[in-house]
Amino acid sequence: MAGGGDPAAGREWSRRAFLRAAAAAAGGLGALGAARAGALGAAAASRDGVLRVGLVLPAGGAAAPEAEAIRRGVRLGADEAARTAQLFGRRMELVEAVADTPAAAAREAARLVRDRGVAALVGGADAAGCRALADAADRLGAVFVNAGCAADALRGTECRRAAFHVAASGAMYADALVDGLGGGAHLTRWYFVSSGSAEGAALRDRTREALRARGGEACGDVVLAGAAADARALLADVGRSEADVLCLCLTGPARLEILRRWREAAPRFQVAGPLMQPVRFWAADPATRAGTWPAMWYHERKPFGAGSLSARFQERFGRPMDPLGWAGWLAVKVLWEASLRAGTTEPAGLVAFLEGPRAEFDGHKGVPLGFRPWDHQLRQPLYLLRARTEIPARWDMFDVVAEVPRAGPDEAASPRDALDRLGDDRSRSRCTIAR
Amino acid sequence: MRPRTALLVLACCCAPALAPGAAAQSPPAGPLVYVTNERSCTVSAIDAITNEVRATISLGAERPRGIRVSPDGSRVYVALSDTSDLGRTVETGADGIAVIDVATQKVIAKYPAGTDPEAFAVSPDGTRLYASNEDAGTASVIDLTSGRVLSTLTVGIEPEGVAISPDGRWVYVTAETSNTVSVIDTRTNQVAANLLVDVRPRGAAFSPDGTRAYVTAEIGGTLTVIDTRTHQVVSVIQLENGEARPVGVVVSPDGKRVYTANGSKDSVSVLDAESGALLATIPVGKRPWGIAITPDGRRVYTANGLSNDVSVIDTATNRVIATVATGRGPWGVAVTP
Repeated sequence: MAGGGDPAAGREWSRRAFLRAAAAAAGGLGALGAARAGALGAAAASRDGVLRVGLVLPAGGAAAPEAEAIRRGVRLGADEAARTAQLFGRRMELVEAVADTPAAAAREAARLVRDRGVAALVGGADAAGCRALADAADRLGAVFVNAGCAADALRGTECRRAAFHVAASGAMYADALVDGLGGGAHLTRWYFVSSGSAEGAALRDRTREALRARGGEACGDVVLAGAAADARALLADVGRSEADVLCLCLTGPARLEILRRWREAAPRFQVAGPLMQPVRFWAADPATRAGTWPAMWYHERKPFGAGSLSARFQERFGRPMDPLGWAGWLAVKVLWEASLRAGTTEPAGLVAFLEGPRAEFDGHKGVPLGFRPWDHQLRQPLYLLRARTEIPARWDMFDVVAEVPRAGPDEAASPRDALDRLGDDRSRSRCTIAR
Repeated sequence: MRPRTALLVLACCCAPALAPGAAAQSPPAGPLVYVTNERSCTVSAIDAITNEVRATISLGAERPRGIRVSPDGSRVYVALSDTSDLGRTVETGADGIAVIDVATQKVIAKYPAGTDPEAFAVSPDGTRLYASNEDAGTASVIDLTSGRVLSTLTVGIEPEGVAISPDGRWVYVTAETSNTVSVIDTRTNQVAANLLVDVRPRGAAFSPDGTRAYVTAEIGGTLTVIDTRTHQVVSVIQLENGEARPVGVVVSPDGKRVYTANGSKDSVSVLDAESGALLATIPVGKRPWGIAITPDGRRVYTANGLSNDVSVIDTATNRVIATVATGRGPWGVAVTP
């Protein structure tokens, strides 16, 4: 445990403190014009205070690859934020901690906030760790930015005012997959395979719902018990069902085995799934690289500075920027820019800014990104990636086959409305923070 | 921004050095409009009177983006970098500023300008060039008499647009990722101030009297107006309901109008410089980024990166009066005096 005072003492969330910070942040928030200019000037003039961001991730265990991916992105983001801070005579510091269990994550979060003066926490390699950090942030009066957990419950019944989700939700992935594959148009019959976990079941149910809402139908639904799967028998059954798509709502060895057999058999139906992290594919047997998957980022995209960002990441780490790396990078960028624009390093001020209409960020996706007020989920387009049959370079294993929704202005809707087509809208949300 | 594509490498090998008959042409009666063609690795020289391409100047396999004309009109400067897909912070042989002699339409020199120069400005006396180095996050100061880099300054992350005040005192450098404008004092060649502006700043331009600077914000969809005496933001103007994705910006010689090239809307916004009011929206070619205005203010040109052409706007009527085909991927545009 680090020594020192207790800079966070008495920083529990109080409604009065929150409303005070919110009012201050809202003072210059009239959308544009002189009010906005004033807010910009005020932020630029703020020259005191250090923004300390704590990174809490496991070093080992099942989520280690995801944690390492997030860690890389956070470090790049912190370096860039620190450099920008210097331009304004300010400082931004990253404080890292390792926590291999949810209980350890909660302990480390408390230590960072109380002993190190951390205002915001970043993490989220798995749902349990994410939940622990969100609860800790809420309890400690800090902010938490989730860079990796897709679980919808974290944005729903378990939502926390202190928690903001840069990571896309399961519902967003489900909608992007079904939209991008034309689930309601030509690929209408889907055969679902899920794990027995609650998260796997939730993802399957949400994807089925997205399919049904677009006019498609489920023609099979199998729950696999444990890691074992008779993949050949399963694929034969999918073929008999005349499915257009085999939708895998599961992770781990069972998924890899199914993908391997699917590649070997080359059946007429497609294989896809709502949740996949390229770090898993990069580490897996090349014979398992198959399918169509939604993702937050793909390193071969170039427009709107995406190529420059991926190049900086590549140069720093010697490997491409993966979706979790992008989310880690953006998590820090969001916190730093909130601090600079709101002119505060206090958690209440950061929360007030992030919830407000001026909280727009450039994630190099061609549209302004901001958080939904009803569940603190980041609005963002997703990319549908399809595994290449021939891989030109070690990392370049996907083609971007669709962007959902289309980047840039949509003739039929504002960019914000278009982005809200992904995931649970206000009417479906079970989060109560905005009520 | 660097939309690197593998196509670039292939695309830069096939351009003729000069358009047929170019050598036999008589001198133009009016200004020439120079356009960098990012994917052809060429510069097109357009006669502003006839709207015909008089020459196409090859730059080999090097990728041209930013372009400016010397104050006396005798030289055209072009920012060059390589077509590599890899990020880097070290200079390569491709990086530099090419110098085109207007009289002969030939490249007569190439100056170093740090790593990956993208955009730049030339001082009013023609002795200095200030370039943004995108990958390195720096700005380079180049002596145009010796061709040497005099200074390299740290600016924001992913620097892009560069503009110099009419009196030559201040240089503004935008930075896309850090949402900043760095102000260089040219007397000391030091960064004197940094400003926070709207999201993803791209282009910058000064008013003719030097009292205002205008900075576009591509993702913010706005134009930021800066008081250059205090280097403070005085107003932020929303363009096309925030969806314009503006990149290039120019101010009319009389200082009354500001024109922004709106990349995703395929349009140019015409604004009243005093009030910020929108006066007109002019449809142009696809993905206009670069924009330039003639010294008499009668014509505005946009480099349209996806339609491979230049739109010619009559500023009296705010209409496109001609569209001139160029090379592939027009990026920047500049007009001789």
